[in-house]
Amino acid sequence: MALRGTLFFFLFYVYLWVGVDLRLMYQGGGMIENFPCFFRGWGFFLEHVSYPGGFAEYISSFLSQLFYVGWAGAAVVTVQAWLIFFCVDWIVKAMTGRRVGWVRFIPAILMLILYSQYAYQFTTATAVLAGLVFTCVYLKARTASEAVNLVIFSVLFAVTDYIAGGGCLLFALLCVIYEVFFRYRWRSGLLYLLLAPAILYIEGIWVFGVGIDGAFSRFLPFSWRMFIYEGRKPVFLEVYVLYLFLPAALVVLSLWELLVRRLCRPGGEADISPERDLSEGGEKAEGKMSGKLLRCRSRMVSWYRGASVLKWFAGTLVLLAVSAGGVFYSFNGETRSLLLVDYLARRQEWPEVLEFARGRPHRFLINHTVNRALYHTGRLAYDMFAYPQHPNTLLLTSSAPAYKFCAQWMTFDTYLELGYVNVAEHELVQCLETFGERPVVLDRLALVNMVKGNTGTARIYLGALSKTLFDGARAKGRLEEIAAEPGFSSDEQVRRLRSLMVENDRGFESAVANILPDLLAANRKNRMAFEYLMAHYLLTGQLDKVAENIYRLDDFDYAGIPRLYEEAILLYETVKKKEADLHGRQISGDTRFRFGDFFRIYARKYRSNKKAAFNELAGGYGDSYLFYYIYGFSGAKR
Amino acid sequence: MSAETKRAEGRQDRNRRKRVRLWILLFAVFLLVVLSGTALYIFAGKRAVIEQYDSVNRPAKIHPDYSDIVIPANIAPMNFKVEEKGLKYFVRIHSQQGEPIEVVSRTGKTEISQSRWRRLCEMNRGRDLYFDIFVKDDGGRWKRFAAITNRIAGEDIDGYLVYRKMHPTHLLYNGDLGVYQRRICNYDESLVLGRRFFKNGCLNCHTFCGNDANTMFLSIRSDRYGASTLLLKDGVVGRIGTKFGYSSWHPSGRLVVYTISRTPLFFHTASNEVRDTVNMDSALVYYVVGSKQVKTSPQIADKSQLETWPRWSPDGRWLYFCSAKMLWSDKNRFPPEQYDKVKYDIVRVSYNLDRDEWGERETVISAEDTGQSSLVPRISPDGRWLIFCMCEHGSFPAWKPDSDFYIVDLEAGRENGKYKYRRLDINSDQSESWCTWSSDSRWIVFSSKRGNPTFTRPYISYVDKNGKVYKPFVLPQKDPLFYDSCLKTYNTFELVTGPVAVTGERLTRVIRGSRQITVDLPITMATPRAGSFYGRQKTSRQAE
Repeated sequence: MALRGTLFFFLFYVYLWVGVDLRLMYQGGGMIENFPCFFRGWGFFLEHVSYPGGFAEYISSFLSQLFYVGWAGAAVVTVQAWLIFFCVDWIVKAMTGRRVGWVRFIPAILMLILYSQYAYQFTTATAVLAGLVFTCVYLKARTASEAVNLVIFSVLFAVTDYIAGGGCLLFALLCVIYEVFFRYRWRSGLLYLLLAPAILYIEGIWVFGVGIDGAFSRFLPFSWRMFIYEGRKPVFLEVYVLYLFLPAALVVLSLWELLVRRLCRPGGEADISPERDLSEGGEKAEGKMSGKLLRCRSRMVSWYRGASVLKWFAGTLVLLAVSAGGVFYSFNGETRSLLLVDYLARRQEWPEVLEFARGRPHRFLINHTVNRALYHTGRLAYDMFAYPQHPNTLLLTSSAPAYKFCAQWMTFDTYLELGYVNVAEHELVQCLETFGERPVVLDRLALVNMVKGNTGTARIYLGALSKTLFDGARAKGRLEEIAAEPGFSSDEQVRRLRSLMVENDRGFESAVANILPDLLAANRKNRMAFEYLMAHYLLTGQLDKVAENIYRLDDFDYAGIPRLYEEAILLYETVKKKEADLHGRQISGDTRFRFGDFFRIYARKYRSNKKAAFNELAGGYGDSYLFYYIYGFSGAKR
Repeated sequence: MSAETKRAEGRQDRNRRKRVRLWILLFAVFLLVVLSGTALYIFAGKRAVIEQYDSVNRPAKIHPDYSDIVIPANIAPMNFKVEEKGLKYFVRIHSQQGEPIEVVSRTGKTEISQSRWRRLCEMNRGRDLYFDIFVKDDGGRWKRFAAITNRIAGEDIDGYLVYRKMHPTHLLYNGDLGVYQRRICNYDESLVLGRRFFKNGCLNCHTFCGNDANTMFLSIRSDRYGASTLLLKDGVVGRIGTKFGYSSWHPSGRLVVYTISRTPLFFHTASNEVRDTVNMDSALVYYVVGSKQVKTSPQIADKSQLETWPRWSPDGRWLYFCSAKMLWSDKNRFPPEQYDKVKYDIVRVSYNLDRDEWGERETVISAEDTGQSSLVPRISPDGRWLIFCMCEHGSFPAWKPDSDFYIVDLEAGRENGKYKYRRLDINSDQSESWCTWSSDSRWIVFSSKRGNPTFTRPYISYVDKNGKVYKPFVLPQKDPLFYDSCLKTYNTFELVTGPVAVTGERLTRVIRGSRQITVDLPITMATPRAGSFYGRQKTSRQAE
């Protein structure tokens, strides 16, 4: 049994580390809204221990920070799952007198399912664990006296409520089940049921002054806190099962035992004595079995005992199959892709972003990051149509509700890089409110304020950042730099962003056609704004605008005209039948040849039949603007 | 001896050994506690003496800046950090009477004992309070800085400060927004009502009648429970089915005047403060507590004017408020034309409570004279002083970096027939807004963004009988560096004499309950729906 558990948890760990990669959850990608923040210092600690459940939140917040280091995060979750496994095993044995191997694996499988969906429920699992630990304490500490047990229950319940919030309800439920179903003490069970809400009310509302929701439902699936995260569908079912599987299993086991004992007794009379020794229950029942059943069972047991290795393999295979099935059906590959792309982008691993995105289906959020990666690798004007594109992906201007928060998360860096600093600040403040005081948000807000010359505000954001676990040292370094030079005029990044900032003050625009010219008006050497403006014109088929803005190439150091612009100019000249002013530049022979070949295939060979020409054009020109212009989509070349 | 007996004896022996170990452990813990206590008693009581030091002819730099200020005797210990480089720090706080307080630290953080601070302040009302600061430098020599001198005022400040605390949000409210009360004499802060009590709504202005915490109302907005106002009076909490904007209790407690307005947000692309708002349309109405009716009058609700920020005079005979001419005809265009030309006057209208009669408008501060927008009038409870904000244009000073405080002597104005205003010395280069007076008119607490243009903090100033407002200081916190990393902004301060006499849970029950006082507004006006916002950004995003 120990070997099976070890094997299971080893695979559990490896899957979380490599398969799920908890670093992605730490980053959050604008999708995980309830991932906690953690700050060093007494203030944060005292704030948390001032309400029921705050202690579990504090511990969970701290441990969750280890998700930053993938292997450490996976280890933390594995230990948590193992502790739950251990407690469940102990409780089942203590209550029923025997081991029921399958029950103890259920929470770990549920946790695998939750993590496969990238649903953050670490705090809930901590609350469940606390409920189970205190149930163990109760079972260990209880005496023969009902009055003493009542006192023990009350004290432990109050402590569990304080430490784990809603986890105390699991504790109460397990205690009630034990008293009623296993000890047949109905009066105790009833008293516990009455006492629990009273203690919750007194502790939550009178002592700690939290609202009724805070007192009764923290960490529970019916709490409104589960609903407030609008970005993604909350995981109710799994959390309900996490809380209720053990009480349900114990009730079923108790009823099953009753049934078996009733069936096994000669004459069918049940001998239910409250004082019976539970640990010997199985043997006693065996002695009372009817002859036929006993023979049957003996044969089965002897066969089973003889085939223990087979039994182990069968059991292990079933366990692994169930776990793998759960993981397979719950794994959210799309979320993983989005989180991974965001993670790589924050680390500025642009080639990896492009590599990952190649051949992936069209997703606005991924394509937005791909365009940033293309810009940073100098390929936007050459290769953007090698990937799926849509006019709304450039600045994520879609109003689709699914992108409401993700778009803000994903665009703050884009706006910042463009020099649209106030809009970046706006998106960051929105993220601060939606996702909490995440280190990346604090870091960027500090940068925004340094750029704007708001040293005092930057200090406050850096002050908060300096209390985080993994970004603290960098923030302290920045604070020292501020102390040495409050104006930040020698900081290259700050100077560059200052040079890009817009000067034309007006209400925010999300129309790309207005934002980018504003940025270029502020600084005509804003290369990103230029490439994004041209990309916008290409995506929206504004060939005349592409031709009109070719003169801006003079402000940059391109070697010739980028290929996609050349293709657009050739299209413009063909469609409008007039020559574009290229400011002394030439369209390359290669582009002219490709252009001629494209239209030879499309117009002559297939007589402008788009459907018929598709395969050949996609194979040779699927990454060209010509293809996008004709077919209205891109990324066709494999 | 049977094996059974041997086993029993063995068990007893083991148990005995266990008990002995337990007693030894308990005794060791007891000894440790006693010794630590004794050591603390001896060393805490011992006076540190630094006999050799070099004098420095300037005061040490401390943070927060608690120098040259006037403090109330009932303020919490003013913990600070010495911002001078050194290996060791020694601070002696003393006055003419009482035991000096001495604090030694290695970081410069000076955390003062509450009881000793309290005793020292109580014994020295009206006297100077000195901070002697010694710093040990790298060479091991002590430096003594010139003493920092503060003054303890004879008058106490009101016991509690109620405020709203939140992230500096733009549109979304998703964090821990709440109305809190802070005990001034220590650091205890408790939640009056949080948005999480009623499923993530929004909390707006809270207003007390005078400085009495037992008569209050509090506006809330919630997708689930709608927009309403909680009314606490005579220990009873009721819910009025409409949201009160900026408001003011009549001193009699019989009616409340409040603003109804449409103030959508918009955002700047290039100015330092991103947020802005325009009062598109507003008027004043009043809720009569006894008859549960909402009324208005043309004197306070002129269709061609934008009326806001009402405030009763302490005698209840005058209503002061801000009023500006509406400069646009197209109410659908946003921001409207000339929105940055709107400048508010401070006007007043007489009121007869018994007859429910309003007099004619009188201009107190004219935008034509000042060339600026005068906002948020606050009259001292003795009726003598009017403090207000002035900024270049607009109706929301908290988002105007140029917003400063000005003061008017109303008594002199009544005698001369002309209200003269003067700029206060307490202003900074950032926005000052929202001031509250203590019940004895000797203290003000106000919002200030000094030091940073984003987070408002509570500052306290002493006001003497001649209307001189002294150097302000930030509300003390236990951790002197608290504000350096606090990501919350403090606003809408109200000083009250006692704690709010109702729990958050009771207020929440009223919000969740089905009973509410339904009122009909006497005028029609578009008011913002709960959770909605207006702005070009959303409009254009939706258009795409």
